[in-house]
Amino acid sequence: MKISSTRLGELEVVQEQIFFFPKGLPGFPGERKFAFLPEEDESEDKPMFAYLQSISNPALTFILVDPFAFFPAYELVIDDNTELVLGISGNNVPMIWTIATVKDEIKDMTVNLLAPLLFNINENIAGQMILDDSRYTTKHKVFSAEEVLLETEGGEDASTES
Amino acid sequence: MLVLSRKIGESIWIGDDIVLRIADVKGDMVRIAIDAPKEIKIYRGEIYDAIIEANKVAAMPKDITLPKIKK
Repeated sequence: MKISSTRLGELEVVQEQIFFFPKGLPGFPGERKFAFLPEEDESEDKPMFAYLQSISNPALTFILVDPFAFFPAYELVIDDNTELVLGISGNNVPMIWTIATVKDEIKDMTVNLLAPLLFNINENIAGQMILDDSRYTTKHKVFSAEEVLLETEGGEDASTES
Repeated sequence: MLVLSRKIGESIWIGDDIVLRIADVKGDMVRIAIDAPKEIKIYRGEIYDAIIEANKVAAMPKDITLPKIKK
């Protein structure tokens, strides 16, 4: 189906990309349907970024970050209520993403590790879960000073030295 | 919205499964005991408000290009 996004333009999305949020999101309780749009990057197996686009509101787009790509020690306990509402379990492990905030520059991007988004990819149900964990906040800096941001640089990753 | 006053030791039922009890009051601090089924999530208000705020700020991203990261 076609959906409109103010930031991303006209998008063609398939059913598998559309997730139902039974409780919307805190701050957006009426927003129940979003399209999940991972960033395509031919050099990576697993995308680190994605967009979450509201189906009904073209102006509502979230940037998502794979928390484990930047915080390998990130861990979360999924409570019973969340398992019930989202239909997830040990046999149906959810996809986990966190919402990013970009105020001015990408390098200052932060993510909300305190309230990750969980996606049941078998039944296309999703929700935001608030963790009971004082280690995490709503604003974790994604990029450290040493991280390298590239737009179009040539490859040290494809070493062909002999 | 219901607004009411309770003394220490008194309680409030919400639905048939949730009870709030005023356990103690000391100065401006009120201690509350909450009995609820474990499926019901209970959050301190400032935590929930912080999530709402974070979502609202995050929902207005500037026009940006997502970076290509070398890992």
